[in-house]
Amino acid sequence: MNILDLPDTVLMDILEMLSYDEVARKREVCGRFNYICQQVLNTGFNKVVQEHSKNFKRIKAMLPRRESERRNHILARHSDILTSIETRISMLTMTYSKFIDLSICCFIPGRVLDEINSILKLLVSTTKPLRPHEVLQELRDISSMAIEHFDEKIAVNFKSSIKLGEAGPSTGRVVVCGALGDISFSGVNLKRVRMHKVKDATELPCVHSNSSKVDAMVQQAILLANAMPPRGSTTPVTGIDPHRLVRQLQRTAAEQRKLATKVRNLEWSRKAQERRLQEALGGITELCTQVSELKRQLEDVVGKATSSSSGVKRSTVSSDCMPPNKKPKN
Amino acid sequence: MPNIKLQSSDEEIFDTDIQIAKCSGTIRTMLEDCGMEEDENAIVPLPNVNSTILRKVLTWANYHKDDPQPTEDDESKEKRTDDITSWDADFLKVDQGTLFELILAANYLDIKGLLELTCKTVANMIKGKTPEDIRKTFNIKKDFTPAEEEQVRKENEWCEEK
Repeated sequence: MNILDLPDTVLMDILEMLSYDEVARKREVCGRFNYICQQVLNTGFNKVVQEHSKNFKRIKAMLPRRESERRNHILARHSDILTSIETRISMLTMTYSKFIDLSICCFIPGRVLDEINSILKLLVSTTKPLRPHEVLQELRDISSMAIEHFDEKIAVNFKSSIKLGEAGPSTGRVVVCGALGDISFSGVNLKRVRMHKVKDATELPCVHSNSSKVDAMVQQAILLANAMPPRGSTTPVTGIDPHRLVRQLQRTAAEQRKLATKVRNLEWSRKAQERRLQEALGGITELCTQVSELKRQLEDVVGKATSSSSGVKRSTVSSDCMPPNKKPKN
Repeated sequence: MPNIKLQSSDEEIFDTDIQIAKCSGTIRTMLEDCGMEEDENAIVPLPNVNSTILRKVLTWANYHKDDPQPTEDDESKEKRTDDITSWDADFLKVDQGTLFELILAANYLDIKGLLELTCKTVANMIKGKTPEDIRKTFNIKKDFTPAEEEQVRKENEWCEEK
């Protein structure tokens, strides 16, 4: 009996015992391992998202309602860290979820999951004020590395495979889902409203997203139009010239095609903008955290300085009086 | 303590203490749902487990019969595979085929403790090994096309330091 004879669920249980970083590396063993590891990584990401929101809820419940009190609360840093992680998770969601939904890739950076998990564990284990910058440094580094690498090296090749996928009759719908899937992160609500508007528009390019289908429809319409006159003669609208009808149909089809591409282009640029917005938002929250951290450090330093200012003065004076230890080299 | 008869796939009967048999979720449900507990001579058929494996499973269950019930809260559980007791480690000094059949049996019989233990053991065999080592250890054929292999390798490239 071979290890590959074990059912998927059992193999997933086994790989769950390893760190996600290792799981990611074990994808290279064989096709089956690759598939199972991908499942483990995807569920791992979902678990991390859930775990994070559970922790965030718990911390929020412990913080006072008043913002002024909240800032000085002992768990304020915990909350800052969790906010930063939330931003990171949104960025990761935006990067990967569309492709995961289309099942052309999995949540690749297992190490990011390990890092988030270890930070969450740290937050649970202590109530001492932490230094957000230090705690988050590694996560910021590696998640940015992962996203950059994905955008530059991996996703580029996926774009073409998506286009190939659109040729199939059923995948057109999935693309819409994928596009809508982008809003699944808990981001700005406004975006959700906008998405609904876009949804109506996206239904157009999906049905007519490839020209061959449109052509087929036009052909059908032309055939129909040609077939009309004999029957049409009995109806009141006998004056219609079939050739004119055909021309008109072709014109409308061409127009529609043009519109579809326009809508698609708009969709792309909207997505790009959305992404930039989210990144900017992420940057802002991170900067906010850093500012508050710096402020606190400054307060610490100022506090220390005032308490020991007399001592400092004396020591500077004495050091001035001391003879120089080393003679400057000539 | 009342006993119960378990029948393996090769039709061997195992007269087993009910308490031990009940560490299996599958047997427990069968007994409780079918009201077989009162019937002294009831035979529980286990068509997916052969006698060699069933004997091993029962040995394990007998040794662990006083263990506390595993808690459901496995979300917060730490990922560790180095907490295998020496008895368990000795118990699992078997060939790969037997180990995998034990996993299947534990999975089918729904014995959480044994499933976790066996999975951990396999995880330890995988841990820290290169893909090539794993293929050798488990006699796995690399069935990737060069393009597929390249794709996976490229996807994993992101964390290599430059």
